[in-house]
Amino acid sequence: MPKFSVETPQNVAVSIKIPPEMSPMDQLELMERYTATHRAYEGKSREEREIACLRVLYPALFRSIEPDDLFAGRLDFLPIGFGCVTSIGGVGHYCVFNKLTAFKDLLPPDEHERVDALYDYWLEHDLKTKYCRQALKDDVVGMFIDCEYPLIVTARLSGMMLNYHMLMELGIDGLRKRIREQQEKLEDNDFYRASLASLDLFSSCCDHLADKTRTAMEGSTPKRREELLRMEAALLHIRNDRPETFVEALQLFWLYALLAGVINYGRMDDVLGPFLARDLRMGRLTEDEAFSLLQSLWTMIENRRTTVNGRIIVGGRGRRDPESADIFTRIAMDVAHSCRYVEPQFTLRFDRETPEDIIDAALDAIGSGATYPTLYNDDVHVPAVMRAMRVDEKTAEQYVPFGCGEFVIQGQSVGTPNICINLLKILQIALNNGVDPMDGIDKSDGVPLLPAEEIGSFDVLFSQYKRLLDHYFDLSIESQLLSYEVMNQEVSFLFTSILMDDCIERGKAVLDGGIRYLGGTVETYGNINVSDSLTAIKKVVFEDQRVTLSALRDAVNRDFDGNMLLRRHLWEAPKYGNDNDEADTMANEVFEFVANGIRDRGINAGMTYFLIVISNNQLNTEWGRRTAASYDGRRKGQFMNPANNPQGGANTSGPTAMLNSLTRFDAGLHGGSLQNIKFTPDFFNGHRDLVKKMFRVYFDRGGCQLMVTIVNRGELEKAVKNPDAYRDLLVRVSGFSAVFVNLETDIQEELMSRVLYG
Amino acid sequence: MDNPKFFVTSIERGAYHDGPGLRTVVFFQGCPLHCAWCCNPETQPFRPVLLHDGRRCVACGNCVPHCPQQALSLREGRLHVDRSRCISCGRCVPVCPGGAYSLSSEIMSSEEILAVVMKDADYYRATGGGLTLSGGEPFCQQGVEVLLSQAKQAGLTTCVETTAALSYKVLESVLPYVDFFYIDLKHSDRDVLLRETGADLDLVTSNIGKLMDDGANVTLRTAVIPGYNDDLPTLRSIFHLALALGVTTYVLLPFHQLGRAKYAKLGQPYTLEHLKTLTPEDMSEAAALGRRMGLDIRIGG
Repeated sequence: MPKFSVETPQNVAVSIKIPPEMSPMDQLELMERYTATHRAYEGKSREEREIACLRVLYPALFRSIEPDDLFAGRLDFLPIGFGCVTSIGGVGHYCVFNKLTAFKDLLPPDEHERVDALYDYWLEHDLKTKYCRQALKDDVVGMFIDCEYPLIVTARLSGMMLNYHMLMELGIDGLRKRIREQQEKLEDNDFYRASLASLDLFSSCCDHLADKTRTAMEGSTPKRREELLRMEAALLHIRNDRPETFVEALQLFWLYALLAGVINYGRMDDVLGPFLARDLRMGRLTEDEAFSLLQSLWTMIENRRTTVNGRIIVGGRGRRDPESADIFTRIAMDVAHSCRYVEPQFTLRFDRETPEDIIDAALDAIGSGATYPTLYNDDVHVPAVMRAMRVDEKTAEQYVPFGCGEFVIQGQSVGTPNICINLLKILQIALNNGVDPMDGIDKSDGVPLLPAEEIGSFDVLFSQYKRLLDHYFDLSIESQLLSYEVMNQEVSFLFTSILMDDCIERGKAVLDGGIRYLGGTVETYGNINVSDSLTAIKKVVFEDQRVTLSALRDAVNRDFDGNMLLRRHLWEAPKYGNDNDEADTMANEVFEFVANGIRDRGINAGMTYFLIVISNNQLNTEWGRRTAASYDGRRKGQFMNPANNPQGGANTSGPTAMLNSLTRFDAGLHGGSLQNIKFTPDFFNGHRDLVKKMFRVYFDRGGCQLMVTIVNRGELEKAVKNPDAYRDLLVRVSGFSAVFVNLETDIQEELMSRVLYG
Repeated sequence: MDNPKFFVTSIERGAYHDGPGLRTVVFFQGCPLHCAWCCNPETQPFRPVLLHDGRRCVACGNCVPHCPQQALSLREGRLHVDRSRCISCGRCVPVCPGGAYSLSSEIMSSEEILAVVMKDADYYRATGGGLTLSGGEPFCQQGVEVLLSQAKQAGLTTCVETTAALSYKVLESVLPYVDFFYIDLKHSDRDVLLRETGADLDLVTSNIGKLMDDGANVTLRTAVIPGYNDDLPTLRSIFHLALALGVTTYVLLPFHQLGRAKYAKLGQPYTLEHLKTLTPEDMSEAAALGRRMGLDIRIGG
């Protein structure tokens, strides 16, 4: 069995969670009930077990309605329970062991045994642990997030964005009807029965929350009473019926998303815009009330504190009623501008047809330092997604970025990134005869490699690297498929499956053959460190012949100790991000090899798509800590390059050069690629017209995406010295935004190292 | 001479302070003036000069034996550059582990310059930007008219930042190829200007007048330096001069200390350490004065 610690933190968590409302003893009892139910359903179908367990959790986990809430639905999360992602709770029937251990401290010592009993039970039953036992391979494949490995893997169902159109059109009763029709048409099965039971659970939760609104009414002001009455009426309406008003639609969407355990929401303008527009038109809502309701949604999402998720996407092609959707978009833009929350990750899709005022409002919000919206160019992405995912145009129009920026097709595809690969570590292993210079451990996994002394040309070196990459790509696809297999053995993700095409039609859960497009993604790290390393090796070793390859390897392994001159030559070799043809061509060559390598394996395995995403959270820094010095001049333990951007400080040729470099890659080969850029307010706000035109050129040249941080020169440095004065300073790390002063020191350093333009 | 060569100190892409739109600014080596506040002092000599960054130097002495002029020596744990011996051959540059040395400029042909400049052609087209020549004094470069005419042929707008302290013949010869002249008007007092910068006020003003007569698009710029020209009477007098020359487009450049480190790298004394950096807000009174007088004033680029 592979060595691993079940207590390893499973995800990036910068935002601190709100503690549960439930008392520790109540939490313990609930977890015991959950565990007993799970145990009692041993041997029953996974669907029966799932719904029985869900009934233990809901509505018990619902918190009270907060005084400012304009619709209902807040949940506690416990160390044991059911979920689909690692950012809140865990995956399937889960136990988050490090959180359970920490939970023990909240209890009196004589209750600790009860926790220990739970811990022991879940060691055998936690889904992710079961997966790890099968998937991990000592020294080669590690678990999320263990930075000693070149490849880390997990089981999760991240990034599900549901078909809320179906929910709005049918309502809960309509869904019941559709399921019953299919039950009759096809054969009845556990999935259908459990799905119907899930919808009943949904209705019970509405009743439970309606009770909570009545509790909240006690002693309330007349205005608040009116809000709570509206909330109660909406809950009692949507428990069965399809929504008529914006408030009902919002309530239905939100409650369903909570029960499904999804943390990315998708095209809310498309789903909710028509309800909002109609209410405004009919005078049922004022613009101010609409603003407050959206602000309440923003607060609800922020309070879930998922750090790298919470996507709301507006704009773009393929919306049913663009005019109504844009009414939602305009109000949402104001809310994003005024809230300054790190979540939701507010995302604007746009193309050449997008109204100018929306683009301007987006730039205003960005210019205010909100870091939102992030910008996605449909003119590039729609045709790119068609090719990358092998879908038609109408389908591709429904692409949505989730989490750090991976794409799925809303309501139609699974695209969870269950693999992360450190391309730079693999280059170092390839050059060190299979050994990772960071810890001296052989991680070649048996791939035959030549020692550096016998590598006589750059081409031989590159092909050796590619050979080792190929092996790690094989491990990637195996690990991804295994994650689906293990999840499917254990659970059906009922609430998610009901709203994903074509689960109801086929009578199958998402991972059981129900999902229309089975995809997946691999997060790649160190892309640019690799290509800059290769460019530098080519120049310094093979062209200028300043040093032999083996001497280079040795000097770099010593972290340049005693040979800083060599480090300088490596650092001064052409670097990506400067519109330098040599460096950018190499970056593209590496990109194409990796992107095609992963994609081809997905196609061969029968998936609709398996794509790389160049979209990191802060793992570029965390993995960098455990990655040896590299041949681009990067020091041992230093952060790696963020997403598709240059290594900090390497791009010295101005913003246009950087933007030109960013457009070098074929977007039709990846499933999301992130581009960060930092501007001073003087440039971005003082010369807005120029900036707007500059972005337009970038997007016309094939720029797919852009995320902008606005800071004054020296401001980040001042914030490090005096954090209390900068609690409001937001930065775009990569696939998420954060309050700068809440980040760890070396992550702050990585952000400061990025070139500031203007 | 269809591919003239130049000493280029740097090329800045995506610039937005040096003419309309997004621009690429090419900085040249060599200037006839010697302003104490010059923020690019390495561009003043007409030949490349050696810069030595003391902050990057660890006094390892690697460079010492590589200098054919024996200009480098280690004394009391510090590296000394004997400027009287240095011939800017650059042999010390590649052997320094810390990258402390650099030469102020490299030779580039007009073709090479334009190859860099044209990479941003799309941005120029979208923003009305183009090529800006700066320095140093661009018009002291042999062959600059060829570079400018080639830039025009390539469809670029051209802007030149000049002292105008040179023969009008030179300016006249480039008139067809320059869309925007950005000319420094540093002071209105003949003696002060000569003493502090070496410029001849009559020559400068006569050139500006002739350019106006010849229909050139002229913007005047004044770097506002505390104790030199920042008092309102002096500025009023400079503004009067501008108006008398028929120029109304005006830029005030607040004094900054960004050039200070370069003096240390050149081993030259920096005499303005005591001066306060001015902010755009500090310029508001002067700008208001200029506007009252009828000038169209911008602050900072």
